[in-house]
Amino acid sequence: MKRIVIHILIYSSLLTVGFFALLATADGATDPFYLRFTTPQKSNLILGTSRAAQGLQPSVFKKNFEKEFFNYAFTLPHSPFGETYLNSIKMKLDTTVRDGIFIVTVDPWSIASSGENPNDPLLFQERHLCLGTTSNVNTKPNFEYLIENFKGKYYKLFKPKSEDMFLHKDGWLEVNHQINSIDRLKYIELRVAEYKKEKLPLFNFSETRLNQLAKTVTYLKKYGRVYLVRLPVHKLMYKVDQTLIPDFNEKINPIILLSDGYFDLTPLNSNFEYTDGNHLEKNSGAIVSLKIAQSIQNLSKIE
Amino acid sequence: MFKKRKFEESKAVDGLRQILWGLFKKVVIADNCAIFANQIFENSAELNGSTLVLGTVFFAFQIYGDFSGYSDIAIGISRLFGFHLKQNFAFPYFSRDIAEFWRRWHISLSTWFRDYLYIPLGGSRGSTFLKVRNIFIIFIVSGFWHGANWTFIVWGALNAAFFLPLLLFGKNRTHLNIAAQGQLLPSFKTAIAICSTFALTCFAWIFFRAENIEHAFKYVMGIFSASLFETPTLSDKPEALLILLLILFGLLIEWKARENLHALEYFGFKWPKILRRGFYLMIGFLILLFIGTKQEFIYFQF
Repeated sequence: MKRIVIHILIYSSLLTVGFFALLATADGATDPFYLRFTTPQKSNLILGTSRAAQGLQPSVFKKNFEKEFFNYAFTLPHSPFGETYLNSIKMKLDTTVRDGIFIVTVDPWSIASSGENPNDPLLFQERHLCLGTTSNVNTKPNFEYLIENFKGKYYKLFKPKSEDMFLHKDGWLEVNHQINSIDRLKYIELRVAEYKKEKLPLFNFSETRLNQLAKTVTYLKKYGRVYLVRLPVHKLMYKVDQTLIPDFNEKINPIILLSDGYFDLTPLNSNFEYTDGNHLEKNSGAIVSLKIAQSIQNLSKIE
Repeated sequence: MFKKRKFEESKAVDGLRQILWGLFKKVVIADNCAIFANQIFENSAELNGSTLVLGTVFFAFQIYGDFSGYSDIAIGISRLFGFHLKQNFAFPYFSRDIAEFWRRWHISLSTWFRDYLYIPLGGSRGSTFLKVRNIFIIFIVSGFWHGANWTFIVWGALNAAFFLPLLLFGKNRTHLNIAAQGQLLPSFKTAIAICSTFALTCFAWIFFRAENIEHAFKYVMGIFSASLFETPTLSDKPEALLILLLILFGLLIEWKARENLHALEYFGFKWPKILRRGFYLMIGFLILLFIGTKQEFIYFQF
């Protein structure tokens, strides 16, 4: 009996060590989120959903402000404004710094919710996703994230890195779509049609999320300057956005008043390229990041 | 009436080996085959014949890995605690005809049907009509046991149809021994018999897995089309290939162990200890690597 128990312990230990050693190899190619949960706390944050995650490049902001920026934006299901996202931001934020810069991207989807009652926080799906289930967002390797939230099989950690998608250490999700302009337009039309058909009928404006956005801005204000940004999208996507919340700018007006400035870049929609209508292509993302950085600097000079 | 149970290390270790192999079959084989089987069966209308064939193979190993893996885990746990449960799957995919397949697949249920339905009905005694009737009854009831759907009835009837010629020509008890017993490789004739039995089983599995009868017939028609000779079209070919390699690995281990009660009962006993232990660790590590989205045991629905 004793011998068998010892053997079980030895086998289990070897397997556990091997397994955790494998998990420790996780990096930016692992999935679109993992690295964001592995850095120390950050004092300058880019927040929002996938539009910000793919569109805004911290390296551009770093050049302009000579400060480290960190992209802590996820996706529409993971990080619409709500208690879950705010709690995670609180864990990620370095509260010892008081002169941070926070770029909070807003759009109709991030203050809307699907489900029967868009104002019932118990129905918000992000509670059950990685931001809701990861209690430590500043540790490397983050075994909690990998065990609770890694989608798929662990052998995929051995797979060669994909060139289509890579999460950088500063949190920027680089997406490369090798597609020509004619096919891209078709792809955009297809994706926008999907949004219209599958998401638009389910989503409605959420007063709760708007209040949480206000809470997020108020909280961040204690640690620096907060700028609201509405990122450009393809004109077809913009129409869908406008159908979801036609009076978006009026709705967020009270939040704008809480912030240090609001940059609505949607009038420039046609100046940029998009991977799928919803997300900025990476060169356009760099230009938009620069534009925002310069706008913040100009605003600071006026102040 | 009460007997003091004594811990027997050799039985407990054997139980652990059986649990390990059961987990391998469930987590590595069945759960991964399920991904492709589901993908192919759910999109069968858009896929070519060769992909549909692959779909049936994936499903055949999904259901085998799932149910025999579950049985191995249950039997292994019992053995760990000193209980001896009967073998439930005796390497059925190495059967040389359908009669042998049914002696080796889900033995507990087949035995129950034999003892409480087939024999009371008269079994293989009586007129040809009665023999045919009894065979159809037992297989159709077996199909109905899986669910109130025509697909299961047709699956049972198909198996009856495959079984019938063997019974009528008195060949249903030809293969009572183990395929290629005492040999490393099967003869050409045995290999052909094993492959054709597997093909018949896979054909019947189409009806078992299909959503409804119409889906099953369309699936079969999709297989027997010109596109059967095209390259399979799968969304993730490298992963499908990896799973096929793992199936092959599992089959090789089971082939080597086909004369035993379970795949790891004596596997690697002639190797140096360190190599055998390394092999167990490798199986354990494969299980951890292939753990992913939770898949229910397929037989929980029956």
